[in-house]
Amino acid sequence: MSARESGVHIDRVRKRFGSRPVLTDAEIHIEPGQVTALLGPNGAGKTTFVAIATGRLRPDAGGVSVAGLSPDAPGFAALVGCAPQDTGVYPTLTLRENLAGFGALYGVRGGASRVRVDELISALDLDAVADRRADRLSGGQRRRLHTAMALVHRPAALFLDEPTVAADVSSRARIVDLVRSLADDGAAVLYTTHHLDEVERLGADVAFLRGGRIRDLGTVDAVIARWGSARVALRTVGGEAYQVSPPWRRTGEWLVGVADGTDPGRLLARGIDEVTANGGRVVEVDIRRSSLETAYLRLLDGADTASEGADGVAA
Amino acid sequence: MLRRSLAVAAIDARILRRDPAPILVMIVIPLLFVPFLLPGASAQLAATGHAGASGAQYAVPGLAVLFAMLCVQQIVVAFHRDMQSGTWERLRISPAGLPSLLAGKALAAFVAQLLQLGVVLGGGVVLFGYRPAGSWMGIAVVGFAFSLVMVAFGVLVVGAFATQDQALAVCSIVAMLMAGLGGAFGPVAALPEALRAVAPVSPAFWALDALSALSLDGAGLHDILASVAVLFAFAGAFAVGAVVAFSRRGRWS
Repeated sequence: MSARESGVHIDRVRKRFGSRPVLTDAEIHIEPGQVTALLGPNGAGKTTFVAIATGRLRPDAGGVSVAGLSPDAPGFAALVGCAPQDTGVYPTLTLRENLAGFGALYGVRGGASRVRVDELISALDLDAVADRRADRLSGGQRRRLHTAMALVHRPAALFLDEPTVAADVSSRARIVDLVRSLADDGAAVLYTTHHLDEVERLGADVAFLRGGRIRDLGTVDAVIARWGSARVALRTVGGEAYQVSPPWRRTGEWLVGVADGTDPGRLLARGIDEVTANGGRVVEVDIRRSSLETAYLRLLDGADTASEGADGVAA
Repeated sequence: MLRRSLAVAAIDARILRRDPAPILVMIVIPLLFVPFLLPGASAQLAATGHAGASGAQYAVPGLAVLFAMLCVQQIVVAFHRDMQSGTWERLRISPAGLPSLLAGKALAAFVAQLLQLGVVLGGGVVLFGYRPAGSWMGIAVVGFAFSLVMVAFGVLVVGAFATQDQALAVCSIVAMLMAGLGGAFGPVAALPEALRAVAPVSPAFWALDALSALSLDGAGLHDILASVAVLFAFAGAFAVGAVVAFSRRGRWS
């Protein structure tokens, strides 16, 4: 099987609404078992991107394929599971009826339906309310149901548009764990969220969407390295009299400098050389990398070089 | 496609079973109206050459047809309920394409229409002595054809109008107009000439023409085939219109 015959491939997608470009050459490839978190501010184009990826919206240019099938191909929809951003459940049907009803649309019927519905109810800790009408569920329970309805048919590609919005802590954890287990079973998952902790918990790759363009794409570590920064601190003994040169500044016994997230060791080596050359000794070293949040904020600001502000660093 | 349409129909049927009030209203109200209309219907029948006929022979089918037309509102509500609850988007993402979705929702609505018409006519038999002089099979065929027309009309209205309020308003106005033209409020023969001339544009005219023949004149199935054919033609035309309306790029696409 070639790479194109499995996973999700969204190639250079463009979309305009009227004269306003919403997506410009947006491209993401997700292999089976991989979770990609699509991050970006409100209005970045995430929901439009998901609508195109699921075949709900036709792009002006570019293409989409899931397991080698384009959205126009028979069988495409059966491969896709999608929980749109807005909750979509039948309020007067019970939780179990909602799941079974949507399962039947995907050909999951009879005994297989009962087994699968029970699995999902259990995985999302909804056993106690399985026969309760959806309009009598709590917000978090309804959100879990909404997500579960996308999973009944074990889709090869899963698109979840902010599945944890308005969900409580426990619901979020259940949803994230279930999504991870589906990926472990081989699903390719595109997951949009504003909760960056979920990205790390999912072990997801990240794609940053801003102004309709994918600004960066990669593993969490790689993105932090590119867009985050590292704070390098050296505790020194001796040589205190010399004037430190930028980017270093002295804070008591510590020299502190902020490095590009990709190579903090270079600044460290420079610092050690400088201290040694001025008669001092480095007795302690502390390097702290940025969080995904810092990288995200820098990407949103449009920064293109790491220059300042590693977070959470003690001097 | 059939299995997916059945899956969609099963969801709508379950929702209706959970809350049957909209259909029950369309069954109970016409049966409540019958005793009030019986004397007038008897007089109208006598004036049109059916002296001695029970008013039920006219009032029951007339009210059944009128409220079958009003029952179209539940089709509008069924579609907009999906739009409002966010399930329409989910249905559109599912493997059930638009034709399967429309067929499934129409099927559930069709069963509800048949049920409404059947129970009102059956209630007329039990409660008011409605006894058609002609073929019961003919009545069933007219009921089937007229329910098809109403469902196709309902889906057309949903597709053609942007909001639920607009669609419901159009349904109510058109239902009353069609019912009046068709003779649900009194024999077409008693209408002003201008209205008599345009009465055949109403599907209710053909349904009540056939039902009157079956109820009052002892007509058989073969006698009403022309009216039934016209009803099927209406159903076909409305269905084509519905497909065109839904195919346009818009909120339902």
